[in-house]
Amino acid sequence: MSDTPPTDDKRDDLEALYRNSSAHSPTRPSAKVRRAILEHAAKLVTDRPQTTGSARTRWRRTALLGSLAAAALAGLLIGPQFLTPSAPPSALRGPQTAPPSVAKNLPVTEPARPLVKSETQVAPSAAGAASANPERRDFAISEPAAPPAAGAAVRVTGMRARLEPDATVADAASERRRGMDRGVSAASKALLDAAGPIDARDAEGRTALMRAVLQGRLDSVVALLRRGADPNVADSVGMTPLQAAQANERPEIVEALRRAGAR
Amino acid sequence: MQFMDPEPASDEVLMQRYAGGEAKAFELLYQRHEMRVWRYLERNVRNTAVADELMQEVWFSVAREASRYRPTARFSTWLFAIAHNRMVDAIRSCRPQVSLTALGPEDNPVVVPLIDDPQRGPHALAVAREQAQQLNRAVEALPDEQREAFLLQVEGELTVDEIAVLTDCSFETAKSRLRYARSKLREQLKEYL
Repeated sequence: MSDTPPTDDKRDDLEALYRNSSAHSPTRPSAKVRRAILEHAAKLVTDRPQTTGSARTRWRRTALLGSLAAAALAGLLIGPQFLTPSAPPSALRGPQTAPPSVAKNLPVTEPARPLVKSETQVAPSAAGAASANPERRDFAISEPAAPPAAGAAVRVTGMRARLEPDATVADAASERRRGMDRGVSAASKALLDAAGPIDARDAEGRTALMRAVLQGRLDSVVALLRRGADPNVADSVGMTPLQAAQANERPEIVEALRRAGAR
Repeated sequence: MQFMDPEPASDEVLMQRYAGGEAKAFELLYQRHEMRVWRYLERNVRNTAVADELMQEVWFSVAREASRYRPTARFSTWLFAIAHNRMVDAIRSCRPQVSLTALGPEDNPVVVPLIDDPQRGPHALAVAREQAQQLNRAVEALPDEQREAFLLQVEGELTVDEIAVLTDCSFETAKSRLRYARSKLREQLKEYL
């Protein structure tokens, strides 16, 4: 017999013994506590319809604002990374560059970080870029080692690469135009600016990050974390974003939160 | 003609029904998980009165938060996360423990009437009782962290990863705690295994 007992989720004889013996455990919650719990639950049901209309409206407004802010953040911060090419600025000034009138109207949020790389520059640059830019180590996006030839086919990277591993785009400039077309609107930016502190809580004690976790929005979660959202702010029942992601069975969000220091 | 009972509603459905105003759904949910939560709390804090108090807090939270519960989350994971958080808060605040006798005679823990079980003879009942006591002693003797990990697994049916998140440790640490806990319990209870 092995000295190492089973560990994970495997049911075994020890567990069977535990359950069998627990059924004969002499203690139970007191009758008073049981009664108090059930009465409280029933009372909440009867009290619920008496909630004032204004209170409901306030709650919904806060929830709506939180959801919109999360979605806008995703568009603002994730969208450009997802779609922009790795071609250097010089390549974008070529004949396939968006017209100046379009480019002029784009919101300037941060320097564009290329996500599209040529076939020859995939792996080696990733670690280097991450170490060169420690602030973005957790969500490192590699910088190109050398500009691709104008008009050359390039491979997408980042989230899109995960979804479509073999995807390429015609060239860097056309990919950037796609990004421009889908770029973040000034209205989204304005909404974000108006949303207040990033860790503001709604009536349920939930931050925008928590709401994004509960909605399973990885893009919003990453965007909010990049924006500086605190990953450890618990809601009114003490549930942290990490626990919520775990409960929602979203390992990719768990991973993102952990990388950002969630406990 | 006898009709078959419909399939029992899942925990998640019951929570939604309760959030929709059906108080009976909460009762069913409570009955289903009452003893699991109780054992988790009582075996961790090792004090019936404190466990009672925590039990009330946990289920009050469940009732209060029902409308915000997302059905995508497994109910038991959510429930035990609340139980864990409440327990940690209680331990941290070192609240004074309530005397059991202060609650009045009807609040004393109910003793399971083993002798009423017609399927068991006196000898089998005595063995079962002794076994239950041995198990309680063995679980109580575990170090706190190992005991909590073990109880989260067997009572809450949480995965190792979920236990790691809830108890703020790495996956490997949680796994190690479970391994040690099981090893010690096996040693203590080997005569029954």
